Amino acid sequence: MTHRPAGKTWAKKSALLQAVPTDVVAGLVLVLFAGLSMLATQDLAFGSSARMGPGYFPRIVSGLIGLFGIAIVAIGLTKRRRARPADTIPGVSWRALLMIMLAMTFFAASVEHLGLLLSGFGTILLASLAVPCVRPLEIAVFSLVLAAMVTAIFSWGLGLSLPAWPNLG
Amino acid sequence: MDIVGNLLLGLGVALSPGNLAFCFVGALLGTMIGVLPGLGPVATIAVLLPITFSLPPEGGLIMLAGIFYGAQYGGSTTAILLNLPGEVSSVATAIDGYQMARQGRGGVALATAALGSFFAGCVATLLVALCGPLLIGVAMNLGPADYFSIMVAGLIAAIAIASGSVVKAIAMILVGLLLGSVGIDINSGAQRLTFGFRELSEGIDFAAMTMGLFGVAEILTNLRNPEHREVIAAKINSLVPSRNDIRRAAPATVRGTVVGSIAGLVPGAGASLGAFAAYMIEKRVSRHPEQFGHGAIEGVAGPESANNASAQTSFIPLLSLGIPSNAVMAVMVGAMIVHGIAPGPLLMEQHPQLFWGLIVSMWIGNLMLVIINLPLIGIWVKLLTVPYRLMFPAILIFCAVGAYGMNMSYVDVLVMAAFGLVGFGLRKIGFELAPLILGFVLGPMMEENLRRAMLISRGDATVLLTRPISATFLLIAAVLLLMLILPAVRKGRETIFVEEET
Repeated sequence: MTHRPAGKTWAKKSALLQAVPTDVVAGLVLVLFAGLSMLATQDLAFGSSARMGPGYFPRIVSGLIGLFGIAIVAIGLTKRRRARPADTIPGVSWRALLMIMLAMTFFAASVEHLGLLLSGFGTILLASLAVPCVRPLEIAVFSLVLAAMVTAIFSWGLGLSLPAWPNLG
Repeated sequence: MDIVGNLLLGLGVALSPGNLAFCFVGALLGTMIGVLPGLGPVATIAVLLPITFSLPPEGGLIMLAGIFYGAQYGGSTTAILLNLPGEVSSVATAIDGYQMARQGRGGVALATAALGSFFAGCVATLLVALCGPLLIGVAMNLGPADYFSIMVAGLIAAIAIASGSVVKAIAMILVGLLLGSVGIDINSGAQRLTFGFRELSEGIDFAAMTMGLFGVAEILTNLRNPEHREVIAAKINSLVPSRNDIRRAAPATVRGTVVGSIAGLVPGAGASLGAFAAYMIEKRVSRHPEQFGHGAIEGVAGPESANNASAQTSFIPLLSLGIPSNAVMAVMVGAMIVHGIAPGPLLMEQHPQLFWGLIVSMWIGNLMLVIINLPLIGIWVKLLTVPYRLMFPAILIFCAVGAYGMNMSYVDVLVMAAFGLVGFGLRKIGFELAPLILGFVLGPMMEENLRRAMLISRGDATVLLTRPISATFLLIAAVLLLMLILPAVRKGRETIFVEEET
């Protein structure tokens, strides 16, 4: 990717994340994940290697994930001394994250009741707000046109039984 | 049945007007979505996957083959015009292709890529038709232990090609294996890792997960960065290569095809290995190695033919063994399974029409690309100039409707959103997502084969080493792993990647 580093308005790194090497965080995430799945599979029968129970494969894989997590933490800690900016986690655009997730949730919640046209319109509108809104009119018109196109393609064109109009019943 | 008869059968299937249309639409849409910057082939196929679900299996798969080639070609287009390779296999193309574009020879580079790919596709299609059935004969004699070991070797080989940390890539494969085991265990009927959600009892929906990881996560990643694209595409004037170009590109195409065809057979290696090997070879045999990196046409023709040839021949391990060799193939396997078709040795016998239809339609997909792309390059270039602030909502709504439309279930939309978040987070902390998909698709197959192998051997794990085929593949895996971990080799690998970035 040839993208430039983000400008100030786009992402603010928290001081904490900047201080910790990426690999340490990455490894800890894996360890956490492995621990969770170990916990979640502990009621499943492990069985023996000749007759593997449902818990056998997931738990062995979880164990391996945990080991790799520890290894990655170790790598991160040894790299620490010569840490470069690239070794720390880049910042996050919270606005983009929030709006995109909001848009998806809105779609999931509304498509059955509002129909594809309206629900799609709202989703696109919400998603568009993930970046600073420069031209409100353009976004509104664009959302409407795009929603109509999507409805035309999926509801009418492909013959999926996706209702286009609100279902109030 | 002989080869000619088989190919004729395939032609009959693929050339039916309906299927021809599906292939055309697939190639067109694949290219259209594939040229959008920031959407690599995996994401492209994932986004378009739901469209094929409403079609009959043959039509759906043929359309997928079209999408596949379109996506690959779309990736090459952005590599050449924007220096944005969509996936590893087109990284080599970007080196000289982008330089050609900057010299105003982007049109020639695109034409060379299309024609070279077509030539490679023709040769590789024949190879698939010849070798597929042979390998199926072998595959019939493989035991579960052999399958398990082949998959292990394939996964390790896939890491060898990937860029970035080996340890992290293996970790991602493991996470994929674990996610693949979510749902009801077939042998015992026990709910695994479903956390009480009934919707998860059939496992995590493959398409929703892929769209989340590669569509939504991609958007989230791109949105952090202010728009920065250098569109140099505006000055495409001529598509026609000069006589000198042809004289230089033709042998490179042939060499690339040979290298790529062989690379495609290596499970796990696939297109990226072929493309890199071809680039290295071209640089070595060239009388003007100093031109490489400054717009040498061989540097486009070689890797592009190789990458297409391998893409094609990697269907051989896929169709005969059922083992995907890279993330793109993993998505194809996922798609086939959604269509109720399990790729593997039985496919050819049980569904000869589908098997041969698919092989021939790959070739037709290639032809479609030449027909579609050369005249339409201007339109693709226009698409590149669409601002991202309009593009990402479109990609997002497409993913959302696609995820919902598969089962008419809002849960799939939420699963997709969740994986978008997960994928975004994982990329933030330096993990690659392609190994995860590969692990996810292979996970259930590996577990099943391991279970069976252990059941047959009564729990004796040495069976993996006493069966010759299994032992060979485990040895290959071990050697590969050793090579990756030995620092000297790792240094060499890094230099390859540094070279590409310049």
